[in-house]
Amino acid sequence: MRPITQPLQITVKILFVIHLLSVNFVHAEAKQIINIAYFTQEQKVPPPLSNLDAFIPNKGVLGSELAIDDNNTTGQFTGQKFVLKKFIVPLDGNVADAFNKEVGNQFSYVVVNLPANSLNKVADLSAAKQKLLLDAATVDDALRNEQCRNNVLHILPNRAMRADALAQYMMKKRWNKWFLVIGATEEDRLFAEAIKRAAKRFGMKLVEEKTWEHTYDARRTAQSDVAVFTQVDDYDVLVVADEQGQFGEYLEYRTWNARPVIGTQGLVATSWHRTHEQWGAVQIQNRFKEQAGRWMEEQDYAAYLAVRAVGEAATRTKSNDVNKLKDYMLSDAFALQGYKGNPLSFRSWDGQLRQPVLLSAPRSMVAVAPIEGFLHPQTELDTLGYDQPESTCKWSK
Amino acid sequence: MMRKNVLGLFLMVVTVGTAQAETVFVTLEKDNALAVVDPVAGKLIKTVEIGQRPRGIAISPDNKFLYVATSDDNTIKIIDAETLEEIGKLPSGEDPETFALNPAGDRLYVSNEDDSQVTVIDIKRKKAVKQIKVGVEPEGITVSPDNLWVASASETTNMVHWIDTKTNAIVENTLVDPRPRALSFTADSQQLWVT
Repeated sequence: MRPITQPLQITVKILFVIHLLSVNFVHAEAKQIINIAYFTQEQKVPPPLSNLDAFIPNKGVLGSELAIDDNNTTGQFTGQKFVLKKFIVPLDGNVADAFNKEVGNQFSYVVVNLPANSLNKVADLSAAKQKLLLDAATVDDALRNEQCRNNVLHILPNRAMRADALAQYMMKKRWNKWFLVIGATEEDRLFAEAIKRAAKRFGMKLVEEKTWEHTYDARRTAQSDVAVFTQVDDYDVLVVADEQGQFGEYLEYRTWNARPVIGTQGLVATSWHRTHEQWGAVQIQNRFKEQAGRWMEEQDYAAYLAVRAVGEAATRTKSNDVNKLKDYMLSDAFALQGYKGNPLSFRSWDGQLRQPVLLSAPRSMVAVAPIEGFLHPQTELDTLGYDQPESTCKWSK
Repeated sequence: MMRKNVLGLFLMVVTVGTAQAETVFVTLEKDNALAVVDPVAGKLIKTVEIGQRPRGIAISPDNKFLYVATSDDNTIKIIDAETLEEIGKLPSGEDPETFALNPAGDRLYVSNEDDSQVTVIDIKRKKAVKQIKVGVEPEGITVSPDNLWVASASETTNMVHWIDTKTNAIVENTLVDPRPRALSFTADSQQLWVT
């Protein structure tokens, strides 16, 4: 048991009478092999924006390694063996060629840690058609909608899910008037789009919207530019869209009026955070740190879940057949333990992993969305992101 | 201070019942202490320092000894239930959390959550006699009233492992729904219920 901060989380769901369900795994001798590939490309080291956070080159892969161990611990009781092979394309390499050449026919399951503009280049290859790709990196709404692919499952919450999580919290706090500050990159624009969509969905008001055009120099920006930049009509909360973190950190404590900062800095929406310790999260945080020597990042969590999802489906179906496992993963029966209270599952209409979204300050977990009170006829988790009627993904229709 | 106690409360409670009075012992995970409570009066009698991050707790069948897992000390302490003095330690393995005492009171079965194993302790000899590999993050553990089975639930593997108390080996595994936590045998040992 763990410290329980809410009045006794009722995790008691279904009581089992073991004898009704008894499945004998002890005499499983012949090992069934499940091959999983981890496919990624080297990343360019971004310009150092701060000396506080060192660049982490191996985000993701360490999560997949922890998960393969967990899968195999289970596998020793089920007669299944999970094998993980890692493929890292060099910075100047071609991902499509590498996928064709390296991943080949041996792997039915591929955890893909690639940027948004590379994902579908791989997914559309004929070599990928009969495989299940588990996207452990992108957050793009388009990849879940008009650009969705039926051989791809998405693990990380997309921008719309994050924006909705933030919106629910702001609505609860009655921070109804938002001041939206958008960075210069395409990703910032997409995040801002998601914020605008959320504002509309939850009846919030965007009183002001500005694009950051000042420098990224901390000395100038922080002290003078922010105060001037934030002299706008009255608002309750500043929502910042700066995914790379080029200026967002400068906003807090320096706005003309005293207002909280939320979005990509300040209070952030994320699938995983080092401040998270409820629902057994302490356990996996510790296990990961021991193995990796650093905190678990979002991509690590995503890669962990991707490999665990294959493991869970293989254990339950007692199969390694990709079609069987995929059908099972997209069915109502699938339930993945993700250390966030509710079991996780995949949305059948776009392959997005349905999950709670953490709202965290740098050193304290503030809330977990869906926020209590936001209701949904099927599952409250579907109050975040693109629900079935809103989805423009065609493959499932 | 009161608020701190409530927050630190690790919901592990044992009750000692005698003809005259009942006492409830509560481990306070974040206060490194043990609370002694009079359940009838609803009063906190006292709290005593117990060690780092106390979690699981059990009492011997004769009500003389308390066993408290102090997770961050990597041990299970034996406490005199009367004086509340520490009188010994058991080799629990790393990060002991929950554990189960057998009906005879001479064996402790400990879940070592971070190491995916169950440690079997001979209480009289204060010795770990066996470490059994189980699934990922074992938590709930219990011994059947007829002393034939130890059932251990692993939260991430989603299984109940059936350990034969004579051989200390797993005989069977049962898949259950995600994240099983507590488990309990019916009094006749014929059914096991899992949350």
